[in-house]
Amino acid sequence: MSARKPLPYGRLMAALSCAILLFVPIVLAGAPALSKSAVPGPYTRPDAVLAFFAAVPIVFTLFVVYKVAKYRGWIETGADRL
Amino acid sequence: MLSGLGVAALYIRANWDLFIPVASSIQFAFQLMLAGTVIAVLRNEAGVSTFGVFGPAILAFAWLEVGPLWGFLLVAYVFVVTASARASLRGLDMGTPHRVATLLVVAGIALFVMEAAGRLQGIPTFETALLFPVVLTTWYAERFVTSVAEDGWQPGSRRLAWTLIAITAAYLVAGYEPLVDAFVRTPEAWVGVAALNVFLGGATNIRLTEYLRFRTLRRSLGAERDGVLTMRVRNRDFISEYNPAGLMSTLDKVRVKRLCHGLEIPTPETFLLVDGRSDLDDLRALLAERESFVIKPVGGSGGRGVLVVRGRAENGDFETNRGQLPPEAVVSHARDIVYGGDADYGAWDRAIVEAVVHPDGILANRAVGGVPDLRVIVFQGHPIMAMARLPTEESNGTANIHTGAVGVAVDVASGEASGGFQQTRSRFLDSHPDTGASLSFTVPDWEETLTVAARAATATGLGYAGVDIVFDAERGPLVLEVNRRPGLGIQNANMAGLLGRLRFVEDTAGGGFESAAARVEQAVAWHQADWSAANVDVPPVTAATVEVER
Repeated sequence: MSARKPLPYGRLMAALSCAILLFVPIVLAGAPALSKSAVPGPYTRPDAVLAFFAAVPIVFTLFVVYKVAKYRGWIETGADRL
Repeated sequence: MLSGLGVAALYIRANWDLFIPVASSIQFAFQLMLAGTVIAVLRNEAGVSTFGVFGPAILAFAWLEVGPLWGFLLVAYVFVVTASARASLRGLDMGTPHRVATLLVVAGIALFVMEAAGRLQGIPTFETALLFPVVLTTWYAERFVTSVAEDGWQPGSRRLAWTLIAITAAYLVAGYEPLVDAFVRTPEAWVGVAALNVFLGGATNIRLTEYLRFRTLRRSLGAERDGVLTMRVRNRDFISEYNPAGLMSTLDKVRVKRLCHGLEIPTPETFLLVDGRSDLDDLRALLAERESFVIKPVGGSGGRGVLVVRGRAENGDFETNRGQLPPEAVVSHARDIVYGGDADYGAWDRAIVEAVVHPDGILANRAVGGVPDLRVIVFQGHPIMAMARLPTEESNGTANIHTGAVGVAVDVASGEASGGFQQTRSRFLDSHPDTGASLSFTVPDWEETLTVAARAATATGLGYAGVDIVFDAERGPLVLEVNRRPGLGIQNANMAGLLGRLRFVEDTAGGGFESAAARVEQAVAWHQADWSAANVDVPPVTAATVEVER
């Protein structure tokens, strides 16, 4: 008998996050279509790469603060788990 | 050791011109001494909990190498990627070795991504390969996600934040050039740092976090505030002293049950012990017959890895505390325990399958989602403090007060409960936060319950133990577990210190030949006398009586 594994929303989002976190910087850094010229806007490609890596812990911190707030019941009641 | 180090330091000082180039060339060794001491002080004196003991010191070195900002970003990136990967692997029953290996693959790819981004875009900071910190970070991600899944977001996030603070503190000290230069040039200070660690390791009785945790209790005790038992004193003066080292490493759930069975001390019925792959077929056969049972790791603690199967759904799946699971997923859970999926560092374990307790109304009507229990601290066979632990929604149905269960003070003499304390929110309660039920009640058959606790502790051979008792509707009080290292939160629930009672029993208890019932009777009398020698008619302990007791 094979186990029917539940695939909850949280796991799907985690898998998606992992893929995005690996895919975006490597495309940003090396995709030929973008060449080595500046990305659209006032920033250079290295700026964009650095901004991406700088944004990762900031977004993660905000996410954790949101989850802890939910856990504490500041946003809504009930414990929140992965 | 310190004398030897002192002599070596004097020799180095005497030949300093010879050694100074060497010392200057391996400055990192001296930075490591300082960083390690900072982490030790944070953990032992401040009492903060970090992922890993000296891992933060090593990560601080990564920051020193590439600078604090980029060092932080690189480590944070690997952490977030591997934590995401770990969260996506939940429920796959992989076992720790393959799961961590998978995470290492992901971490390796993340390292490659950073390196590639650095080289292709000419960002030299990203071209620093930080292999060892990456491995450490991967393990932190594994522990963080496990902690969040089992205890909720707050405990895991707090530990992560403290880890970050520890890394920062170690970085600031190890990166402060004037301090490091002076330290490198002063061999006597090397010995001084070793001496400082030896001194602090032995002299610290209370940690900063314990001051905060027990501040209300200490204030209420006034002049007797030193009667609060701290972790350091518990470990040094009671666990090391009264719990034989051999027992501490071997006394698991199965051994406790066997000892209790032999002495007819009631415990939940055991259906099966899964000790390897061959036992899994027996488990499948058991699943066909039974609809409710509990699967626990034999070596587990704190409710970790416990699967409570409450019944069968219409489609044949089982209703469990982890949602609806098909039978093979239940088998996978047991297999995961056996092959190290639920243990720290992937240690192999055994899974015990036992009967579900149907809690008696007196406690069950006051809790939600789990089985309430009674924790009794037993010292030298005497029950000295008790609390009922009531699961809450926050504790996800577990009776562990560190995950949000309510601890309710229970009077040792009468069994009367009188108000509770929720440790995770540092608040005193008159009613259960979810059910609203009053926390003033009386535990039935109190003396019998205390006697069961005293017999169980004595049977295990532990001098200092925390006995967990559940009240089954049909069978009455059952010993669920005997803890070798019971927590200290019971003091806040009771608003009373354990240390004074422990010292009193040390000074007052007899020769150890009394029955469990007699010891309970004695403890009740001591409690009524407020654990004070002035109120108790105690024969003085003389050299002769000590000799007789031996």
